[in-house]
Amino acid sequence: MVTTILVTIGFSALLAFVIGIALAFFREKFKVERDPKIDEVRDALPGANCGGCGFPGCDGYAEAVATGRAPVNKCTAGGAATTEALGKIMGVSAVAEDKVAVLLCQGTHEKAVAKGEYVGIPTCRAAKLSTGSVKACAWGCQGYGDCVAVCKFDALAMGDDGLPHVNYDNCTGCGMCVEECPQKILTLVPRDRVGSIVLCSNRNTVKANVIKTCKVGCIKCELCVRSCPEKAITMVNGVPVTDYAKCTSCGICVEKCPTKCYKMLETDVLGTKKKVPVMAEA
Amino acid sequence: MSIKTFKGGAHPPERKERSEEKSIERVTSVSQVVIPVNQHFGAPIQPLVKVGEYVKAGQKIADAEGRMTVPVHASVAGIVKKIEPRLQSNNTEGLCIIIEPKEPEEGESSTDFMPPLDPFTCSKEEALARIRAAGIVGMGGAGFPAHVKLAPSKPISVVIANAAECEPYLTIDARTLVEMPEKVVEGVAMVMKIVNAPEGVIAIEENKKFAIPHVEKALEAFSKARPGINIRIQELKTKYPQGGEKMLITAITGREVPSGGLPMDVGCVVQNVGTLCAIVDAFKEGKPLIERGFTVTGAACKTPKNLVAPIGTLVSDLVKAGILEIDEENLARVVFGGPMMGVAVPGYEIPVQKNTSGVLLMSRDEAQYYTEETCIRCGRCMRACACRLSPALLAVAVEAGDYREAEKIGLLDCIECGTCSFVCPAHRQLVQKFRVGKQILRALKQKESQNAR
Repeated sequence: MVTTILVTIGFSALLAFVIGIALAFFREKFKVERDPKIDEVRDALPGANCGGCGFPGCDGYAEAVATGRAPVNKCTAGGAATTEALGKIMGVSAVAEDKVAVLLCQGTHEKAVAKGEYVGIPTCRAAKLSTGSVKACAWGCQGYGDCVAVCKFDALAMGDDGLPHVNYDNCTGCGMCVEECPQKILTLVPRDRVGSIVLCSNRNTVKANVIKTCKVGCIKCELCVRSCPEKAITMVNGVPVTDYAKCTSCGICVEKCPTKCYKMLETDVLGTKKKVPVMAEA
Repeated sequence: MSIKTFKGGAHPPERKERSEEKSIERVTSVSQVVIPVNQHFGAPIQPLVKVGEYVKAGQKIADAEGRMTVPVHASVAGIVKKIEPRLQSNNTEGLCIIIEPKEPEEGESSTDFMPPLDPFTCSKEEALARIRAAGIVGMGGAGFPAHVKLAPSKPISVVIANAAECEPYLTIDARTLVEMPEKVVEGVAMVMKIVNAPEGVIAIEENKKFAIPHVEKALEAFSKARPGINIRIQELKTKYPQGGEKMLITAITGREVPSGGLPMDVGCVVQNVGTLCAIVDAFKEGKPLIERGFTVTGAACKTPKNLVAPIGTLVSDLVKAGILEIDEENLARVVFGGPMMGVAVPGYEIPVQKNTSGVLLMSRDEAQYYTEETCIRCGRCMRACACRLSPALLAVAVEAGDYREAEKIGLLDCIECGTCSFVCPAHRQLVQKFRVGKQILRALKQKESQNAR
């Protein structure tokens, strides 16, 4: 009885020893060369697998960075710290682009007219596909929160007003919402940008039609273009665009805009600066 | 005569009785026309006229270079009032040319038609050029350019005239068969000549039996005038989506269009009877596609009718002119096209386009909708699917965002007929999901092919 047990133990030990040696041998023999940098880069990444870099997860991006196919500043979830760490590993210097998503539409339930009653699948994409746009404005936010659904960082939430609201503290600028939005009205803006921005994407050329469809739509009066002292505003594809190299944040366009679709990024949108009454400034 | 059909499908309530007996009425005077510039499936085209210009009926007002383009013509003689984006029947805003009718000056003609052309003696290139110049697109709904369809790269053995009209409510094709069967027969013969096909088939569903004697008579007269052209009538079982190209081909010839293929891959060309009539007009009168027949019906329509009106006629103008009467209180939904595949639009101030086969004014009872519930695994959608797909499995894949799997089990083969959604006892919005899924999958594939380059 005892001998049987002892023989079994002895045999198992011998077998384990032989297999162990064989494994060790084959491991060296069939070794797959892998750049140690990939693991180094992978360890420096946050591991959220958000896909914001455009690669399939952190593993995909790590491989791309290590092989030099991708720049080191693509990881927005990690931000400046990750970019610096990756730069150190790869021996390059890079500046992180700290961006946030901004919704270029203010068409809430009250302000934008609904085209009709939509009863289909409650996603923006489905709504746009079958109705063109659930709002009378063909360019406006559909309000079913496709962007909220893809946000991995809890930075977007649907408000009661029918528009998604960005929590700029949580937003990492990964751009998933920008990609997902079927209307393409979310845009990435550097967090520290100052100047004015038009929160409207309506490209309808007929003024009367804009007025009919939305109370906060750009009516193409071009008052902003004419009143800007720095000549920083130009109409591009039907909506005014500010040249931030010239903009001095004087606030004249914001004040002049008859439908209040011009806003100041630093005070009205991102809230990076306190609002100073225009009167006090003068 | 044997009655043929395809496998699967469903039989929604027909509700054709409202307008089936009403003969086609011609709308001659309208207060304005709003002509969408882009009414075809393909590359966009640009307006050729300016605001304030006088145009004749049949004058080309928009065109562009390119194979997949079709010109648009003024449907009435008058002054171009505006060129601006307006809501179209596909629910998007698109550039429209608005023309206000005006009598021509003394001695001038109000029309600008092309000279007649005999398709039986002219060359194939001439015939195709004429069809393009006449602005003809598939009038059944898709708006596919006819000159592209009639220039197949493979030999054609059968030309099918699609008079199945499987969509409930619509009756315009049936009325066309009853009132102008000669034109349909001649159209089939012309298309047969253009694509060099030995056989022509006019496909009619069982529920339109009353039209068959008319077509038989026309066939007899035609065979006397032009002997040797082989055209026959094929009766089909009344079933949705019998009028889908692929189903029609399977029912009549027994051939199956391969996945991702076109009817020409199995030697067939299918044209709607409305398109055939337009082709006949283009050759015999030189008249471009500037008017079309459509059915106006529905429980909220007090005057169900079959109308022929200039392209660009606003349905609201027909109401103003007293041609239509609408039960405003009961009106719950307006649909352009048939009830199964048509588009629900926000109002009726929308122009009739080249591909508008009907305008449905539905009452609250008709426009019911149900809340979506969970799949009960009954498999009815699978039995009903005319493409023999498994909608239940497709829905699972699409909902999970697994587009690779969805593609594998045939998402792109879905013809979006909506039979699955119709038969689902849990009121699952199946076809709606597939439409979104197809859009996303196509975008994914496009991205991949760009990355591969």
